[in-house]
Amino acid sequence: MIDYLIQALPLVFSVEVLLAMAFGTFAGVAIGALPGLSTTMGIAVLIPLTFTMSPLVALGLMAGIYNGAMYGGAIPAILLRIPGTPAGIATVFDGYPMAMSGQGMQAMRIALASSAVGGIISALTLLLLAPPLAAVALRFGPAEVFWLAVFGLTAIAVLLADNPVKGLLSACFGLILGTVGIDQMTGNERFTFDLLHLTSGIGILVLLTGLYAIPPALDLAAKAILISHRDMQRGLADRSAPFRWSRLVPTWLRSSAIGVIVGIVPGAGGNIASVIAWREARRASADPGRFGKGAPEGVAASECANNADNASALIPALTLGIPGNAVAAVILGGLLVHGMRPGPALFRETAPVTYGFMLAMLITAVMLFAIGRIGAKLFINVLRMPPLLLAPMIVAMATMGIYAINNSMVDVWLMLGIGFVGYAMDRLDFPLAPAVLAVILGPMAEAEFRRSLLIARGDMSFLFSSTISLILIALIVLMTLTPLIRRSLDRRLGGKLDVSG
Amino acid sequence: MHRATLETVAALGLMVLCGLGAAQAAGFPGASAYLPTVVLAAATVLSLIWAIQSGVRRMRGGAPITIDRIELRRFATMVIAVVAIGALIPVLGFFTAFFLLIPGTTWALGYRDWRVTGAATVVFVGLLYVAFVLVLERPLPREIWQGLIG
Repeated sequence: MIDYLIQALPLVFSVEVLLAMAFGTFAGVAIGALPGLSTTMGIAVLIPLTFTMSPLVALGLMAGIYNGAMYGGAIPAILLRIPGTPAGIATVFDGYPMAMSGQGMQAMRIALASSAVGGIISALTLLLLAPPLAAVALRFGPAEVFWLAVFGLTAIAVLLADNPVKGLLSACFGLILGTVGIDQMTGNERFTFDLLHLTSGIGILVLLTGLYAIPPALDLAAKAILISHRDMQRGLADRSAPFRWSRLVPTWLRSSAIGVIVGIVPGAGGNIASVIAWREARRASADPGRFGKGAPEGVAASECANNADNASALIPALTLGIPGNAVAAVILGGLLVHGMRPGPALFRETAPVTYGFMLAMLITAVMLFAIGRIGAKLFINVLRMPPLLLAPMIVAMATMGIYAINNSMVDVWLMLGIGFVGYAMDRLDFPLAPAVLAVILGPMAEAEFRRSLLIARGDMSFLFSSTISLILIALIVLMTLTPLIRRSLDRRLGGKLDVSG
Repeated sequence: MHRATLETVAALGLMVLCGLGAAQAAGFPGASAYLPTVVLAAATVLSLIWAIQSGVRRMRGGAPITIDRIELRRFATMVIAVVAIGALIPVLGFFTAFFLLIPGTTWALGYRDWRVTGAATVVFVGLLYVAFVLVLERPLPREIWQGLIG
């Protein structure tokens, strides 16, 4: 591990990677600050730009956007009571009352410092936990890798959707998209409809950009959230008294632990982490009545937890190929674009770049603090950007990015078509992440399944012959039954399990 | 129309589509048929479950879908703009198409501050030119005015 870290250090501290991380963090805060734009959209739109770059430059950019956007969501949450990202929901509870009492800038400073602390602790956890977990996963044979891919897909499909049927249908959509083209093992064409362009399959970038850039653009134009100048100015008053930062340390430690744990659990996102952390901060407080009325600890808990969720969600993603949330699924797509195979192979085949990416998560969390302080006023002004102008710009950038990869208008039309399907899925409450993950894991699962059968000369019992396979099968069954278990527990506890409310 | 009715229709349509797909996938040679056939068969069953769930929800009642006409108009405008961007790029070139369509779409969506729209379009297209042409050196389709100049 130390050897790989030493190899990665000069790569991460090269000028172009540092610039990419700084630009990514800056862009991430701006994206997160704009209500209606998400981290996934930001990464999906910018990935095509990184196609010709070296993998670590691209990953540095993604790390910056990821960490930056999570904090950016706090800006409109505090100033306008509109969370820029879903993870900013609990920041509203105390951030907005602080802004209304003339402490808007103080709330933003607390949110920034807490985001940076959460991001740093999360990145350190990733650096500590990922390598040993990957070492275990590297011992897996083809049967185990097959079951691991099925487990990852089931977990995301079942846990990310309110209705598991929709999550599984989304995964099926991705699996079928992943089979389009020439079958690598037999050379047979599948779902190409005699179109030459489809023989090479549907690129992961076409899918990512279509699913994550077009639906938000359509939504942004339709909803056209208008922000009045008066609302913004009201929140920006700075009548805050001197603040003792050390009082936030216990909140930071508790919230970071919550964020890290929630991040590792597949399907749970930053929004859940921030709500749990806010509730725990209120429970631990000597004066819980202050919470919801402008308690600085409330802002700190929420922002620290949602940023602590970031890097830890990459632990199962990088080591096992199972992303903890939708952003991690998109990042896995980004790895694939740069020729890196998600899962334990990352720590064997492309270890210096993988360690470099983990270091980039740490460095961008530190950069976030500096960039957030320097550009505070600028990021607030981002809120003035009219969404009706932004929507066609997102489509324009996505179109150009996708065309530039293969100089193909067919790719552009495919991306736009997938975008419309993605919008329909979104409106019908289908999660999009299982589809993306299925495109990544589907071909891997299929190849490992066939490899297992080749090794066992067609004997299917080989798939069930190892203890690890049996444990994974048991986990798949458990995961499939999770909604039923959750519903039964929820009924017994009278709805107390619903953290979103 | 109720949302549950819409979902039932969508689920039944998806079920037919997946069923047809499964039949086609079963015809792929050898091992190439395994995954798509199993996945599409599973998707057919899942669509049926979705249709039943929606049907049951519809029978229990529920409020009809409310449509905001202004929101719908803006959505339709954006859909037309997206299709127009795809259709006009090969004819006009990327930058010319963006110079026309970004302000045009913004105006059609209801934003009328020409100074902001104009300045933002120039800056945005300029940044795209720097990124894709100067930095990444990607070959892009010829702009229409380049053909006119010769």
